[in-house]
Amino acid sequence: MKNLKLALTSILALASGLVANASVTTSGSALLKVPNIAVGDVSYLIIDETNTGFANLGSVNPNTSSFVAGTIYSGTSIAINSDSFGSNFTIAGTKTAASSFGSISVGAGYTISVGNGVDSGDNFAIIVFENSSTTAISGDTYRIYTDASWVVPADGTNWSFGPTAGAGVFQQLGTTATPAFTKTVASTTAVPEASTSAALAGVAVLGLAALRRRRA
Amino acid sequence: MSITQKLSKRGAILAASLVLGAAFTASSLSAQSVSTTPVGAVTTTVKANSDERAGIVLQRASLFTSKVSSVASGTITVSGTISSLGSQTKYVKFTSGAQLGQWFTLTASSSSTLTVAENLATLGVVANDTFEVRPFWTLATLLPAGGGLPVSTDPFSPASFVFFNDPSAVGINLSAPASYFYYAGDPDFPAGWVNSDGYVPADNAIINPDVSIIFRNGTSQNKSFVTVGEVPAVKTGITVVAKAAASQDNVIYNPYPAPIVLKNAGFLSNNAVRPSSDPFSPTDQLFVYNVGATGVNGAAAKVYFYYAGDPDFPAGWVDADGYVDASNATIPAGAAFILRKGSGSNSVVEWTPPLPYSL
Repeated sequence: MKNLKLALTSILALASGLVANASVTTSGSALLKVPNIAVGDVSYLIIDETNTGFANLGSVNPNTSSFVAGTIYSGTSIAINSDSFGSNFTIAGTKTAASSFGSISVGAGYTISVGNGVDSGDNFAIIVFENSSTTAISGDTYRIYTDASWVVPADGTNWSFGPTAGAGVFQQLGTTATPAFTKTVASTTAVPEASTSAALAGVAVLGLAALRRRRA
Repeated sequence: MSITQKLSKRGAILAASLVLGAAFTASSLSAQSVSTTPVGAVTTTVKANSDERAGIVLQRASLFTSKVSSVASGTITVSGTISSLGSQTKYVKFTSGAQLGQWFTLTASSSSTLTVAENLATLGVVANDTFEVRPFWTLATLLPAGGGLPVSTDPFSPASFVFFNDPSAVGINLSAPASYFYYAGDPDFPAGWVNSDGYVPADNAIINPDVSIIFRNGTSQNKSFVTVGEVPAVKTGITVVAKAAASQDNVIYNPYPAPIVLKNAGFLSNNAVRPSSDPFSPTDQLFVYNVGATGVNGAAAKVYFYYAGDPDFPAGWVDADGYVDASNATIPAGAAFILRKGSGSNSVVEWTPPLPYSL
């Protein structure tokens, strides 16, 4: 047992870059019955490290923006190639909109690692893509939701989302919620290499499938 | 995460007030019943709009007790015949020998053998060591029908939460990565415990005996629940992890239904707490939470460390608030605390405090 636990924690330590990671945990549903969100929509909780404002998030470039569900992009690592998200935003995690208890909601079971640019007091938002999942789809619409109460609290604390913001509770956004920003994944004008055409065709099929799912 | 990862080690619970065998004389204790297996009851109160951090100090009833006939790797052949142990997830806790007080998740069993993931032979388990097999507490067994904590009728705005800490989390100031609430039920979803991440049933969520729990009452009234179980009759060990590169928090608790006194709590054994030569930069520290605290996400109320001593100040426990002697300070029954290990080396040791009572 000793060895098992040591090995396990060692692996985790390596994964975290041997940095003592303080954390904040959120739970519940951040977005509940919010218009334009459908089952299967993929969302990302993103933290504004320098509080420059989510308007400063650049348009997602379909050539360079890929996301791995569950992966925490910390600091500049979010800038994949020339990803236009920029280096001041960190993705803390991802959730897929689901139907639970008869309502469509976006869960909020995130553990936000504090450090590596993420600090108490940083604002956070949730970005919901209509059709993109792990790869940005050209022309896809994504919406950015945030609230005045959505601020990274003191590390070591546990917060939930509820109808009324308060001690340990972030404001849950509901039927009247409107996105702070609505953006479109940038279109690409690049001519694909022949060798990549097949792959792109596959992506296109996936995109159509997603559209059919969404609009069904 | 597998059950083995999730349940890395040994165990026991907590309390705000206790009801135990007559052997206990503390004011928080009152008589219940005493037999060959002392049984007790613990009442935990979670104040209005507050968190209560605690561990579970009573054990579920033993399913099988015997001694080791032989051991090979992670499998022990027992003395006697094992009858059905049921389908619940269980652990083996040694009640004598080199692993006294340590628990191991049971991964397989037969009529004559018990198997765990660890190599018990390497850990020093030998023939004639005694042990017991117990089921883990789960949310549904610890808090049936909510147990007295507020029941949530709106799953999107739970009235209360139970937060599970993760013993394998790395770092300091760690939050609890899993949260649950008790749902009242509706025609489409049965009443029961629900994981608030994904809204999946969680009646069988297992409570890791190595870490404390956070009970959050989101209502304006104090709420209580009562735990009934067997009183630990032998020492209980709790895993303490340290990291080489950075400080590491261990979110643990007093595993007994009676207070422990710092100077008698065995922290220095195995270097669970290392003496600090610099009182202004302690090596290892204890952050002890108040029982009956008010508010959510509260901070620890007391910070202690063990000072190595110098010609002017004797070695001993020190209260970091005022640097006064804290050797006789106590950690209440089941009270949660953080043992923060300073950096220096990767290590996993067992803190196995002596029983603060006799049965």
